Amino acid sequence: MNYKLIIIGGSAGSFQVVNQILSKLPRDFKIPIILVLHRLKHIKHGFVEALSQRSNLPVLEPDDKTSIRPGYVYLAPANYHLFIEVNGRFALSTEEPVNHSRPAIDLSFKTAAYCFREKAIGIILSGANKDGAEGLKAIKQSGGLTIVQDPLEAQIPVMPRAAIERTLQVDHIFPSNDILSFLCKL
Amino acid sequence: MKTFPGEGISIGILGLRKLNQVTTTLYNFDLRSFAATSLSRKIEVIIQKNHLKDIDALINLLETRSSFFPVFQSQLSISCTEFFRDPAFWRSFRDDVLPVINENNNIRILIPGCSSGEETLSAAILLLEAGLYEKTTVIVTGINELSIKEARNKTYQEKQLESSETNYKRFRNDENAAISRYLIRKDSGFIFKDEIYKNFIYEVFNGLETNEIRGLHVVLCRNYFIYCSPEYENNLLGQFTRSLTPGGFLAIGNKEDISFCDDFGRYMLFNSKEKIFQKRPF
Repeated sequence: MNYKLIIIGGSAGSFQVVNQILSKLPRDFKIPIILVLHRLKHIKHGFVEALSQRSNLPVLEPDDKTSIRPGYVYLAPANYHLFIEVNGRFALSTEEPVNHSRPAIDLSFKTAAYCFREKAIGIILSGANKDGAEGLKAIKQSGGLTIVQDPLEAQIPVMPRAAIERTLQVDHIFPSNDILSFLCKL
Repeated sequence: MKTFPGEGISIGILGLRKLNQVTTTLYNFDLRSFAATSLSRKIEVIIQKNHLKDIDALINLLETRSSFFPVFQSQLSISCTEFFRDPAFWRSFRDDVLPVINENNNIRILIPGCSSGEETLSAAILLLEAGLYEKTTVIVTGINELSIKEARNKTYQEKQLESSETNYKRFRNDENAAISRYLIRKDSGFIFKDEIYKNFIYEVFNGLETNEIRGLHVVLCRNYFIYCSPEYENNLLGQFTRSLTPGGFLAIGNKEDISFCDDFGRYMLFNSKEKIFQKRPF
């Protein structure tokens, strides 16, 4: 399958996993990766830098209307929702928090499902609330591939568990090492 | 799990296209000036708010009852924000921009899109505290008369004001600062004192106006372009350039971008972190 987009959602306990993935992916990894991670709304700087330290791929926070390009990792900026538009660009929104979160994983995943259909891979990692469950289900329903971090391994299993329950037939439940090796084989 | 507005309904591109056909032919209102995804989400919310079944019911209502159109238009123009969103921006506005514009005898500021008023009222409070409000005119635009009326008479709920108080304390760098001193209790919520609205001028602006506003010292347009299509953003920026005096300031949201617009070269960067630009003198 020729995947065009990887979108990863996570909250508490997901930073280490994301860091591990970004530090081990090959430098010529082409599929764009979007990270929607819950974060403090008033701390705007430092997150990209922290992820960049060990990442093999360039990490950036997209501005509104930025084009999604291969070879990049995009981090959803603080205090905005991050959408993907049908024209292959990002769009931001300040609408109300969803699941107490802005960025909300559900919203980004739903737009990824709508725009990328079966060419999207959705991954849900550790986290303490249920954001992302609806979004992962949307990816599954539009034919995309769904992966959830094994709740037994996740630092906080609430988010992976909710995603597994809501999506019904998640394609893979993997510990983080297997998520990484799966992505490396794409 | 808390459901969010519009969950379950999904407005695709086809639905938007059908809706746009009605709004353009009947009301000369082109939805293609909006960014597609947030437009589709707003339409979902409007469908729920007005207890409609689906987008066809909305289209039908717009076709049969023209008195609903202003309501639709006004609901579409509301976007959510907070008082003193991004406190660091407001500090830079107060400390770096105000001293420059204070050199003018009268200050003219444009805030496009009154929405639910948070941005306009934050600006007024800041100017009041800096002692500059007396000589300032704040021109606030609304998509129609209804949205202006709603913004002017807005009642804010206590819960809405919570994050605003946090922002305001951060902006003032003072744990004891309280936005509530500008508020009076009304019914179940709060309204702002009249003195805050004193120097506001409201203008209807629906993107079709040809008589442009001139002589502006500041255009405060944060998180407005995110709801515009690229073409409309480009067009609007051109209007702002013509409206601003040389050396006038343009502030956009900290994750908004104007570098693809024709007029980008007419501006220089004043504060890159807070996305404040200054119009070049020539």
